[in-house]
Amino acid sequence: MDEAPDPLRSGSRRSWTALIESVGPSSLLVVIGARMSAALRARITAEDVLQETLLQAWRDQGQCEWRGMAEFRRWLLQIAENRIRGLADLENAGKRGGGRQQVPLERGADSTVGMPGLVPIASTTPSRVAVAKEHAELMRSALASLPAELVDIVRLRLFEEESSEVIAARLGLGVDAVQYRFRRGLAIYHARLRTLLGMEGSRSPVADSS
Amino acid sequence: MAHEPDAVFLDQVADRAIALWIAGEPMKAVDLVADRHHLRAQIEGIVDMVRDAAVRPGSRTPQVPGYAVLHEIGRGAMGTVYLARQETLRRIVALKVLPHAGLMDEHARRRFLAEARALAKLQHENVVAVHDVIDRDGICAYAMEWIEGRSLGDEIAGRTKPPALDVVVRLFLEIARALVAVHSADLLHRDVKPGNILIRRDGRAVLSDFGLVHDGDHDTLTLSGEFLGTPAYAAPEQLRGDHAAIGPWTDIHGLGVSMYQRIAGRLPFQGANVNEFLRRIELGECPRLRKFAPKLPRDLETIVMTAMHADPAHRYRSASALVEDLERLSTGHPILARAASSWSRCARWVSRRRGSVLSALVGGGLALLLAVPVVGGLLQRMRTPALVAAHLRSARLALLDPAIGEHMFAGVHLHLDSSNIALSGAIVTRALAEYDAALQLDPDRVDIRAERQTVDLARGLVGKDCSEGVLQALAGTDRRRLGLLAFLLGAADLCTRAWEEFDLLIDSPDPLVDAALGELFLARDIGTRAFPRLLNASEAFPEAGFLLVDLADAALRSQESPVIARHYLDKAKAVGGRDTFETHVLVEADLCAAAGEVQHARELYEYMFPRHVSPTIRLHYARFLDRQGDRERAVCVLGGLMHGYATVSMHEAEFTALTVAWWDGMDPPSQVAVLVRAMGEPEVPAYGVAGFKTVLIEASSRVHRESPRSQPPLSSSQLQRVPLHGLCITLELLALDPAVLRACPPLLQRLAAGVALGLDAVLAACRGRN
Repeated sequence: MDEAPDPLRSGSRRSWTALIESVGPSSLLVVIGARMSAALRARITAEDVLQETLLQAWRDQGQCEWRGMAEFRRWLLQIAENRIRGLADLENAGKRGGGRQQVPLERGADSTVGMPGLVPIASTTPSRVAVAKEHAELMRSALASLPAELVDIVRLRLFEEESSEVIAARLGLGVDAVQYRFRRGLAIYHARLRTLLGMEGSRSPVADSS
Repeated sequence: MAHEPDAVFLDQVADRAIALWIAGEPMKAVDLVADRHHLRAQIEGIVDMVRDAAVRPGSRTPQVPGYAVLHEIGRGAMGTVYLARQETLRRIVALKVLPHAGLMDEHARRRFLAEARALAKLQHENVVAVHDVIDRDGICAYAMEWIEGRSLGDEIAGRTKPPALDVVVRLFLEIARALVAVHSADLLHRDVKPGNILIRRDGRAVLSDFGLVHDGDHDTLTLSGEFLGTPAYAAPEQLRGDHAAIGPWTDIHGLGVSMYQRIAGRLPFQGANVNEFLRRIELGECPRLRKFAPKLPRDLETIVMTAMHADPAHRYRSASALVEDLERLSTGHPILARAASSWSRCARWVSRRRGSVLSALVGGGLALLLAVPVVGGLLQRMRTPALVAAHLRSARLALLDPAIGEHMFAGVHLHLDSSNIALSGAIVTRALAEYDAALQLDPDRVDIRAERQTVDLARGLVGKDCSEGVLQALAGTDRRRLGLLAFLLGAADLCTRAWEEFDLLIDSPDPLVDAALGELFLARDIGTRAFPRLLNASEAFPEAGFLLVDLADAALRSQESPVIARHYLDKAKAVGGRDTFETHVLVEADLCAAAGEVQHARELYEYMFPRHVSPTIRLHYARFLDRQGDRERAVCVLGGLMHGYATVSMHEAEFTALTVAWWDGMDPPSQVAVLVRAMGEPEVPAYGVAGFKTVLIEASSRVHRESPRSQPPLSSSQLQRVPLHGLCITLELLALDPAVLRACPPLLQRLAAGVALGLDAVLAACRGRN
């Protein structure tokens, strides 16, 4: 059987762009936004964090072993998480009198200057990020309309792609309870999203069962 | 699953469905039903719901019978391409799928299937093979061989040095042979371009993406006058939509343009705007290929230029003719195509510009330059000054390296102590080596020796006392030497003064001084003074692409016509060379902004902004945002400049004006909204709050003194009632600290007035949140 080619080794900007679009930048925005504190969101937008994440992912793709789309997405979210933590640390340092930085004249490890080839602009153009942002807003609105006990479960299962077992452990619930809440939350989320998209929402068949 | 209640079973189905979707596995209701057939409708509903609510397009892989779709690898107007595994033969394929085939109009569907059928006819090692065509169950797709490798477009984009010409010729030949096969099957590709030329890992080239293929056996699918193709590579007859004039020679044009781009590293046809760009394609106006590749064999240039001739009658009429000439070139035989003679080129040029040529001839006459060969010692003696001059030029070019220019930015913007600046050892070593080479040829050149000594001295001064007095003492009365020392050590002000004084004393321009002063004036944002200096310098250093980029920059900043800036930027691209800080991208952004191409400009600024920590980029980007009316973002961007540097007096006035305009542009409710938005800060930086309160009280008192009818001054007790830590966050958003704020009274007054005006609203909002 042929081995599936590793999309991270193609070196092609077009492949990278398609990969990022397949991962769903809009949903990444929702996750990133949820992980940022209000204070951090006041200083930097989720879109900025996403752009920085994608830039770093492009630079570090050689360190990522391709194990499928879901793993790749998790890797991206880990980069975003690290970035958010770094920003939060900087925020805290700044409040305590530190954090004002001189601009280094020497290029440090974070510099992208001299990278072989250009970063695929298509991954991070403002127009694309704007579209992703718009989609993310719709998804956030749909998510926010859920009852409080369902929001986290739908977000963790659908957006962060955590398993029911992990969610159950994190929230201190049984797996059955997580599955129960997820199905109901998904139905409401789905109906709400269709409404926001201006589509005629059909009653979810799930809502008929109890 | 154990026989639990139906409701629990459905919960498990939903969980299983989402797990399949995450894993990219097919999600079919029939597989999830198990023995609960009475729940089939609800299970199908769950599957639809999961698919509908999917948060990433990558998981919405089409279900193509006989194939396991792995992931998307490309998307175009004529379909989406996926990586897939053919289940019967267990091989990896590229699956091109027409999305929503059941909903597409018949025209698109027929075109798609025509493409598939046309490809299936071809069996050639340089044409991507089609294994299978699927047209059932609402799916239109075809499976192609999966090519491991890169596209020619990716190779061109990643080009770091000129390609090996034998590799280029071989690639050219392979695709030409592919076109022979395509045309022999009565097909036309119509979109030959680097993106559609794939290069396998073994180096073999393959022609792909037949999305626009025209099949002569079937009804014409293109509507007359409809342009199909990629403009940069399109032949004039394609751009005109003249389908009757399109033939195999049209594909040859696309291949010729692709090869030009591969060799030169740039497209042949470029223009300041769309009309000019299209005009150049129509007329075939492009620079000679040997301008970018001086060592290119003339025959190869002739082949490329013939292939992309604007007039189909002068192009290769068939791919076979092109193949023949390429084979002749490869085997050292004379080619059959003839280069356009100088006279014919001149005649074409004149016919296009009859009036202006005539006036030039009348005004200036013709000049002939004869090169007279000289032999023996006389030749040697004549060559030496040229060689010395070449080494001297190289030494000076090394000193003008943009990395040195960064010191100028530091000196101008940051007022950093020059002892902190590390003069690049590699640059100095390079320069000294060139000086030594020049002196070896002509040891009597005292001026070169002096210059070399100055550079060596500068290297030795790094990390030591480089105050103005020390440098002046070292340089004595030699203003040129003083300027050079100051230039290399980042003492921008001293450099400017010394060299401006020197400039007054000399009769003819000094290119090094002109280049350096031009850079300094550019760093100071004085385009009108930078432009003439850089113009002189670029003529003395024509190989310095970065000088041309700066010249384009200066042209824009000195309000020259964008056409002039575009001219220099294009020239810079043609010259090439290192542009470590991608200044050409910034200038391109400025040019696009000047030309009204807002979206393109925005994309370029956004590309630059996170990549390079540069005050210039922030400044340009902030100005662009301001012009677009996005003042809030402009304030944040420019505020980052103010926040990150020791002193930024040069731009403080601009920042103040921008921030005031932003604040003034908001009505009080919006101003309150800004403050309320900032109230989410849970922690209070005590020193910041106290400091800001003091400053606000002072400012409001001043406002009241100046305008007694204004709001009474704020009192400490009033301010204590308001969680003003949020206002401190607002200040941080503006990247100000109280010390700087004190220097901006107009802003401060407005903030104070705004706070006073909105105080009740802010309080009410805070109570509401609590």
